[in-house]
Amino acid sequence: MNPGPARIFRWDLDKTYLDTKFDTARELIRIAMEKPEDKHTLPGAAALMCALKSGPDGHRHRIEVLSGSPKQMRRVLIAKFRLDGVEVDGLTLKDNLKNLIRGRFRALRDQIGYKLPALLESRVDVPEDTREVCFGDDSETDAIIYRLYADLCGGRIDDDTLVSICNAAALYPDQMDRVRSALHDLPTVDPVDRILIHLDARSPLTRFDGFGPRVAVTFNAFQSALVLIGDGILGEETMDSIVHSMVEQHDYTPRRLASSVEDVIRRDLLPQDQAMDLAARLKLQVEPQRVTLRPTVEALIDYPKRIEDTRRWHRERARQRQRPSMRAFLFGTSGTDDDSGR
Amino acid sequence: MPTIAIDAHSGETGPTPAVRAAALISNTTSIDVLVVGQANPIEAALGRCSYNPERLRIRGIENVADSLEETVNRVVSGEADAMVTASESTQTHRICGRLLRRVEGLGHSPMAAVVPTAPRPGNRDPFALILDVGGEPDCTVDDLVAWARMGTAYASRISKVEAPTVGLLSTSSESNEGPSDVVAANKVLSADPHLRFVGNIQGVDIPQGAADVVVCDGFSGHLIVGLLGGIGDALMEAARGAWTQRPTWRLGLRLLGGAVMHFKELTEHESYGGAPLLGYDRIVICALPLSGSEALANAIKLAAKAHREDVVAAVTQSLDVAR
Repeated sequence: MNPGPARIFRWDLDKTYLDTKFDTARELIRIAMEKPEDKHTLPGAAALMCALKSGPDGHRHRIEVLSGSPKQMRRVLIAKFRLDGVEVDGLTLKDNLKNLIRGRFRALRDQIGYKLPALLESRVDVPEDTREVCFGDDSETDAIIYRLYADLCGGRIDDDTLVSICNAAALYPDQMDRVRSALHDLPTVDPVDRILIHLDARSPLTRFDGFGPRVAVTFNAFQSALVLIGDGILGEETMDSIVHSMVEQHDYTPRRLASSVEDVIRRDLLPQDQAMDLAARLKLQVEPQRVTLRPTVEALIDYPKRIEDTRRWHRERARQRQRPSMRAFLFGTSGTDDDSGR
Repeated sequence: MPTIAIDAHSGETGPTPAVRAAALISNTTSIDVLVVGQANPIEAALGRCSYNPERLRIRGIENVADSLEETVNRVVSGEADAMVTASESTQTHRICGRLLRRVEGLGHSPMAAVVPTAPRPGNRDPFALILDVGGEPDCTVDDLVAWARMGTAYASRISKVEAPTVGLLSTSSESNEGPSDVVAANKVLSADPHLRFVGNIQGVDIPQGAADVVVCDGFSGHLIVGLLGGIGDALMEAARGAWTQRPTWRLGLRLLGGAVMHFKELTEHESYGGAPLLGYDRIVICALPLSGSEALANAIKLAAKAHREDVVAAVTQSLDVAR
């Protein structure tokens, strides 16, 4: 029997690996037209991916990228990975042309209906003991998707709950069928060790309260690497290349890195002693911090509520980007100029 | 980039405004912020904000009562380049007086603030500098003269006006009228070749842009700044009233939207945040104890700008030249 890879690292692409800004349709079109050399990798992300691929134990792990970018970008993205010196084992992209032709406009933007079946299906042929680490960001619903994926694989969600979740996420019937079919073929094993969410949209940390101890929100690749060192998934020696990349290519200062370490300590993402030792090794001046202990027990999530909360958060963010109405300006309340004003 | 320390427990509304201000600055500028205070409430407030940990550090203290002193210590030690506090001015004066070094020969350190004025020739800054606004009524002739020189140095660096005009606040524009100290200071300032002294000015002249720097005792300055804030609030209240009373007035307000917002920006202390405490060897920006996060964020920006423009050196030099 093929023992399979030791570990799978699942990555989202935009805002997790690539530094992409797309809040408007125009920006989406611009991104689609970009050449590989025009695309920017997030500081340290390529170095982190390379470090993960090698692993501390000499294993060759798998890097699987699952992105909502259109399939037509495959060549450009592969070229971009090559430019970054990153070897990716799988690249799954969204068939938005097909969605468009079938008139499934909701699917153009939807992530849960696209990613959840894709994750489950990709797990079917993987050896049961293969562990996974998932990387996403806070701009969409990655934390929900990865946690749901883990809960489904672990058999913690019954069929009725699954239906209510799929309804809340507005999945198409065929997407729901794919989820059920994949689950039928999967052994009941939760394969996810860690879910790392890059705070690209700078969401407040409290937005991720209740996701449990395995979801770690980080602000940069350096912090993600620190978390993985704490987990024993990365070796401390890999920090050199990540730090080098961030300092040399992205103008990170020792001070910014030291601040990142202090933040990780405060949030209990890496034990204080280990973090201080590592900081000393990297010649970073870090002061001891008061640690807020993380929860150790993982409670089941009310997914329909989480999905609705996320939608509301996105709506609120979009509203905040608009110029305040005169009424809101005068009275400090939300609303538009079309409100009655009384 | 400068590091600005902010005293988290100085305001009257708890650490949240300071933490939110630091978080905002960490996300939107390249200024590093050091939040000094009790770690527990700071972290609780931080968890509810959007922030960038690469530019925000927390320096925990045991006792809330020590937060101002600890913040000053961080500046003295060099960990921070400047500081912001919303403590009462008397407490700030007392602790800064004890821990910082005052410029040689200066009797009393003035607190400076800005007031909006009509456009002034050769100066695109919509604000004039006024000092002292610290509330202390007692000042000497030497204080007024020193403040004029310090205000000139500060305004030339911050407002980028090579030779700012200086006016001395009085009850009359005649040089020989008004309080005796003001009359005596007028004589000294008139003879100073390093200043563009325009003579005595009255309260009514300030908003008309009679001078780039207005010098007065702390009591008068405090009243002027407070009065201006009150007028701004009253006019905004009038605008709110108009909005609710008639549809045509509401339409008018919508048409005037940009102008109304600009007016609020000019008159509201939240927009310019803090007042520098001049005359020490470190930059100290004082915000009002009731300051919100916007005011404190602007105070942090002002502290960074004062550091970048090396205001301390300019102010010290202005007094050295006069000796």
